[in-house]
Amino acid sequence: MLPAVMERHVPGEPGIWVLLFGDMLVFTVLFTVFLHERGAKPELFAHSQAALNRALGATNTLVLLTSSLLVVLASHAMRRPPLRHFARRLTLGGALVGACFVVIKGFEYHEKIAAGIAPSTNEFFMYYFVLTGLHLAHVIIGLAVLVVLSTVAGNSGPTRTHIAFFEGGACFWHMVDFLWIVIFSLIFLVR
Amino acid sequence: MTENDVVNSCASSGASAANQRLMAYCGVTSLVVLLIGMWAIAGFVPPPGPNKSLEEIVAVYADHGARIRFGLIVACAGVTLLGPWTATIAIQMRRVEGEFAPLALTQAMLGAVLIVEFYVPSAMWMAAAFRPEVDPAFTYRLHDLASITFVALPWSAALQAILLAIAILQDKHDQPVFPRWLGYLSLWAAISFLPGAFNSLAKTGVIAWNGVLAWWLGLIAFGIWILAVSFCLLRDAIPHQEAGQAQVRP
Repeated sequence: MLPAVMERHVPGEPGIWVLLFGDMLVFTVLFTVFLHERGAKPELFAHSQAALNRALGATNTLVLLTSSLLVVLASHAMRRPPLRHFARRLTLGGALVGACFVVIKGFEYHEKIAAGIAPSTNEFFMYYFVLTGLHLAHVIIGLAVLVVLSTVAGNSGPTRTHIAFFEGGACFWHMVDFLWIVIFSLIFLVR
Repeated sequence: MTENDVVNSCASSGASAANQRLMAYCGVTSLVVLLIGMWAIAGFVPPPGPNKSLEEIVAVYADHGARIRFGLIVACAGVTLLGPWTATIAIQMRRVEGEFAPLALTQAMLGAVLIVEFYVPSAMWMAAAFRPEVDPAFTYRLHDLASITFVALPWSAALQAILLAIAILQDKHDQPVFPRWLGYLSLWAAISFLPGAFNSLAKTGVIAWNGVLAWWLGLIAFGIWILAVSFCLLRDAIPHQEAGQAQVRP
């Protein structure tokens, strides 16, 4: 079995990429729309961007990267029978760290709303709430996926389909991480 | 089993497969008729946007009232065909789940709800086009009500797609009922339906009822989903059932 494990392969099952590319296409369209609107009103966007809390955004980037790392280790453990018993705990650990993102995002939204900032404030904040909100929905779905994956990892004798499903779910979580890095750069950082 | 029983069961499964095929085509037909009615005739793809003034909205209904009403009648007729389509999906999901098929049953219920979610706002648009100039403010608000309602209720369709996805990904047949990519595509569709739910939060931009996310992504995902599910019903699920190929792995 081991040589097969070492072979290069497309992670997950082919079908998962329908979901991943479909989702990334949607976000790409949104990023394009955002940049287009930003080009039309550069001062408004720059001025509004200053009101965002970069510290919370940066913390959330670290949170997702850490969580992704745990899930990478879990995928690694899944494919190697001697390490497999770590996979479940690593996945649950990834979900636990990932859940911090939701809590921190909650603080961030609360801060905005307390300061009287809402989606209707201006175009920048509309895109801020739409992009981060749609991403947050993905985080919540991703957390549910990680919980499902932890039960798959709990199987004593996972089949090839189980392992492929696990990798596919892990790829979804990495996509959520990747999309956040783009959103963070685009909305919080780029001037 | 007597010879007669065999003949009967073959005869009934033949009729069932033929009916299911017809019902799978209903999904595609429904989409085409819906688009002809709403887009080509009524010009409501998307409906006039939430940033339009009272005068502009009343003028749309006053100038194109007959076209709008007729187009929506066609659209409602088309949407009805989602009923048989949903039932075929439920029958095939039941092959995955077995006799007591909770996901299939829930999927069918949600499919029925979806049709009503099309009918009601369509009828409200028809009413707005009925006497638009008698009370312009009322016409304006009725347009708000109908458009918000039409876009704001993606939940049932999203859950329908998620349930189908769960059934597909749980399938343990050697010859699965649906291909697994359809499960993942259904999950993508479910996520893509949802932004419309937030349309009442904005009057312009991507989540307004005529926006890129709320309207266009929802519509495109819905179209792709209907076509993909119908394709898999006709290419995989129904022919395999007919051929009796679905053997459960021991």
